[in-house]
Amino acid sequence: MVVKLTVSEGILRILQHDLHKIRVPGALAHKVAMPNEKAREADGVAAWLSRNFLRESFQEELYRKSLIFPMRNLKNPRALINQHKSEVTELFKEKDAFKLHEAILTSKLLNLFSESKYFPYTSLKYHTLLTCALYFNLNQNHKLNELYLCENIPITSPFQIIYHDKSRTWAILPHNKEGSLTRIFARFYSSWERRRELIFGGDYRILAGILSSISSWSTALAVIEDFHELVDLC
Amino acid sequence: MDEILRLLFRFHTEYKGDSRFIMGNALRHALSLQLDTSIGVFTDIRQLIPPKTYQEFFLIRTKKCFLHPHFELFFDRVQSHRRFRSFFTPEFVTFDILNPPDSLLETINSEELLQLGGARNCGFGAVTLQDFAFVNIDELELVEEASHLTLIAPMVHMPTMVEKYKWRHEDVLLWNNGRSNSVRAVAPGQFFRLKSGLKIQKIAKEGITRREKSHRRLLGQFGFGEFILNNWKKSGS
Repeated sequence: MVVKLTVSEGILRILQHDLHKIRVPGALAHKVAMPNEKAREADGVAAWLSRNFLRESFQEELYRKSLIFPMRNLKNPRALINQHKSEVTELFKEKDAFKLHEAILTSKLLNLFSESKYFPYTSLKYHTLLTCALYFNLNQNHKLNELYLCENIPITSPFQIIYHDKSRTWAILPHNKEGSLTRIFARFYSSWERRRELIFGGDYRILAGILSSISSWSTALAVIEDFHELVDLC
Repeated sequence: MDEILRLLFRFHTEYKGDSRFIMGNALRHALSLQLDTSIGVFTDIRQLIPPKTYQEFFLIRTKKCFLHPHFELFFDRVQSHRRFRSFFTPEFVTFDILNPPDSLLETINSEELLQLGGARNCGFGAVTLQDFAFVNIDELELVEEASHLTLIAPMVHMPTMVEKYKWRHEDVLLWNNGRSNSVRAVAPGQFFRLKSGLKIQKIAKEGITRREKSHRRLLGQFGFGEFILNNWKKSGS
């Protein structure tokens, strides 16, 4: 029996699909977490976009390694894990897809976890947002090679947003000749080097240089967030 | 006859500067020689193999190498607030030198201290020669068909043989004996569609020998204007 889901129900399932990676009690297993074939495809593509950089041998840690703050790459204590688990459970009690997406977008907590234990530099937060944006666009029958990364452009749905901070909102939108930043390529640096405008100038020259050799999308987005934190420290 | 000497340097200390490439100017200043050198590309390949085809020639120069950044916070006494600075820990860097002088390898080996990049007074960027290889461009198998041109180094003037559309400019820093100055150039990594009816082999050779003619070819000697030709299908990726 095929149960038809509305878009926001499908999105809600997608936002919750990786809870088993944080080992939250009652989280769905990977095989049954996805509502349909398109969602599985979006998840696969999002994983393909981010699992291509700095692979390390098997690790048991849940936490993401940071390229900007190497001091955080130590083994975290068990008490912290339990605290974070309960905070994540609290965050995911929200059953409205729009509010949950907003919460994930502004959450610093989810960015502490890595998406895959073989790739400790990937970020769970940005993997979830990428999956969600790809699913939304695939659901509207846009192919992967029609998708563009756009900055500060009016969007049809908040589910297309993959990155947000004070000055910029990045969204994945279908073909948009006006104002699109770059095309979505399999490797982040291909997209980044072919961007049409200089986004980060001045002090951010260092960041732009680092980003032009990172191939993983979720690592790159996490690096941008970490770098903003570093600038705020000064 | 054009000959290229490909050099591979090994880093012994940390490096400060652009994490994408080292301007050829850095090597010219380190050796105090007016070389015709390409930009230095970071790599993790430990050994050079003399290339036989066009693709093999650019293999080491197009392969991405990630440099781990290291940040530190410090108190800036001049501006009296906290700031950060960074350095990188690369392993190897490779330069291509066009028509090298005969005694170049001896000069490099006799040099006591060879440093690239910024903060050289503090000991950053010390390198030694790891490996070298000679390449004869005339014997290289060049490509016969190409659809696109991808920039490896920045370029000041876009050639007339490409279709022009909106591209991105960047200010590229040139270090010049302590004073830094910048040149506004087309940023590397971008690609352009070639016009039809061109002599592809000639263009491929120009990409290796750097056709940048601005500033009396000085910027070409710093490494500007290097590009690779790609043959991509029309249907897109």
